Amino acid sequence: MVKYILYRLLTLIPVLLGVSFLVFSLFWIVPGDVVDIMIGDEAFGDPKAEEVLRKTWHLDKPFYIQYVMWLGRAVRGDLGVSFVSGHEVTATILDRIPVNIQMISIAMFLVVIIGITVGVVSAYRQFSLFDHIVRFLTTLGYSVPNFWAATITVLLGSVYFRWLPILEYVPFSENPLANIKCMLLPGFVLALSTIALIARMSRSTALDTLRQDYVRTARAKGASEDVVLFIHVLKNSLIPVVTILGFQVGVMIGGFVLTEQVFVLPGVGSMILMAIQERDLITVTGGILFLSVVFVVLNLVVDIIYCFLDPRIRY
Amino acid sequence: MEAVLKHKKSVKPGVEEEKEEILSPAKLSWRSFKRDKIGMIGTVMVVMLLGATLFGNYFAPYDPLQMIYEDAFQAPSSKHYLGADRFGRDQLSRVIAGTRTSMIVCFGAVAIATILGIIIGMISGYFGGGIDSVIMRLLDVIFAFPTILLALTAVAAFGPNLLNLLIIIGVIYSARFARIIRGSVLSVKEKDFIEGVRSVGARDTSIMSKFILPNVLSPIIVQATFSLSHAIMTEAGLSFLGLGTQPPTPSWGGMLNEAREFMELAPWLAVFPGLAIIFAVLGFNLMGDALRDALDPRLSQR
Repeated sequence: MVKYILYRLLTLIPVLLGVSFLVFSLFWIVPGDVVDIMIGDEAFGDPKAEEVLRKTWHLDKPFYIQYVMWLGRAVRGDLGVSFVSGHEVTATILDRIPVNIQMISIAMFLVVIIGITVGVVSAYRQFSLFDHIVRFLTTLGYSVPNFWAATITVLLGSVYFRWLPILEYVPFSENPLANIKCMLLPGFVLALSTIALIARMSRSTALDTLRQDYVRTARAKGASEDVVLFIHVLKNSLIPVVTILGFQVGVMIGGFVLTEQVFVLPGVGSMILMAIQERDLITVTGGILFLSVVFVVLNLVVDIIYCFLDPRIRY
Repeated sequence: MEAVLKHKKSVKPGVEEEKEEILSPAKLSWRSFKRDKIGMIGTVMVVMLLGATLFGNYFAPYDPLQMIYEDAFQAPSSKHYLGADRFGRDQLSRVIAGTRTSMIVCFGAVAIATILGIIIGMISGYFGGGIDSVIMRLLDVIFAFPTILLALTAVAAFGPNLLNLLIIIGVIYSARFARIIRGSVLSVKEKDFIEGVRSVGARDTSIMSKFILPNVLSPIIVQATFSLSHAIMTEAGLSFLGLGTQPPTPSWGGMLNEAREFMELAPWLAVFPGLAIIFAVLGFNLMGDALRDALDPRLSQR
């Protein structure tokens, strides 16, 4: 078990290196000289200003040296200072991250509670009306773009129903209760397609498990109540679902940008989007690096959980 | 055990002959696919989308780019079936025109992804060893990014237009194809007939193209269909953020973005492009579900 964790941590390093390399090369892919972008309008065309800029940011040094220097700072938590806002990128990210943490926590909570429950119950009551409705809704839910669902929610909330208080963002420090209330809808919209997908997956894996021989044996043995059976079936059918959950976390992280846009939430996603529009490369690279690292680490956690759940895995 | 279908065939009027038809796995899959009613609905939806792409111009009542300022913000009426936007452009025509944008991007991207994925997956799976490890590590790096974030930054770096969008989405999706194909190639590679063909002296390239490729087609087809639906979503999402197709080119995501500003004035503007997206994604998803059920090797062994 410990060996497996160590092995996974070891393979994490080349992946993280590759990720940081890819993110860093953004600076170089962007057409046009990076210096011109950073200088802005005022000092444009001034060779002396360019010289100073180049020296300060070591832009005269070769690509790999710059990368190593950037990486060295990033590992210590320094993601640079934005030229546009003047703030440290790391500080901005930490400022905004609670929003995202809340969103994804609510989303994961909903996914597990609604998605898995509905899927398993649907499998138990296969061919019933409930099952048909669930299959229909999940297929539909998987096809709805979350930014459209968000827009319609905001539309209904602001125009037709007087839900406006729920739709305005209130930070946790101001009013905890209002804060949770206003994060519920964004969390739900973020989770929508994942709930549908997890419900379908749970349903199909539960169906497969119910067909297994050991279930029949347990029933024949007179396993006391279906509750006991329920536990066995649940535990075994959830194993494939956990693997997908890891990937879906990434999808939801990607969904941050869209959801924050519609609900006007001050999270990391909108920070990245604004930075892209303002050509603020430092913030963009810092933000993308941060989110990717979070995703990779979360995947690792999911893999380790999976290792605990499935007794067949032994490294 | 062969799958055999006996049916009566009339040779001449009044004379019947019993004909045996041996069902190959391909035929079995096709029959299974045809039988799936929901999948058929999905296929019909996809055909409708393709029809709108090719012939939409003839059915659209107005030119999607034509601005009729007097009609601005008109609610759905007999003059504009789906209403009109801030410039008085007919929404119905724009939604139909948006189909073309979405279809071009999604088919183009998936075409790139499939071809790239086949090449990479085949090389990785067939040659194995060092090349395989290196390629898999590189793919892991791509998988470490949520798709939208990667597409977002790439589009921001290279410039938002249709062609860039297509290429970027295609390249990102090719990683998934490569991984799936590599897996299938690994399992097909071990089969006896490959050894037989190799012992007769077939070249690597011909083994890969003539013998392995036809046998890994089914997961490719299924993955392609689902990727088509994902590509539509991604394109719409990026256009929604302003990083996809630029106005005035009609795009469903872009139309939703424009509609957001005027939600109180004209709420219907936000509804119909979204419904179009749902229609398209749903169609491909239903078709993909049916294809997966039909091509699933487990089912054909029952």
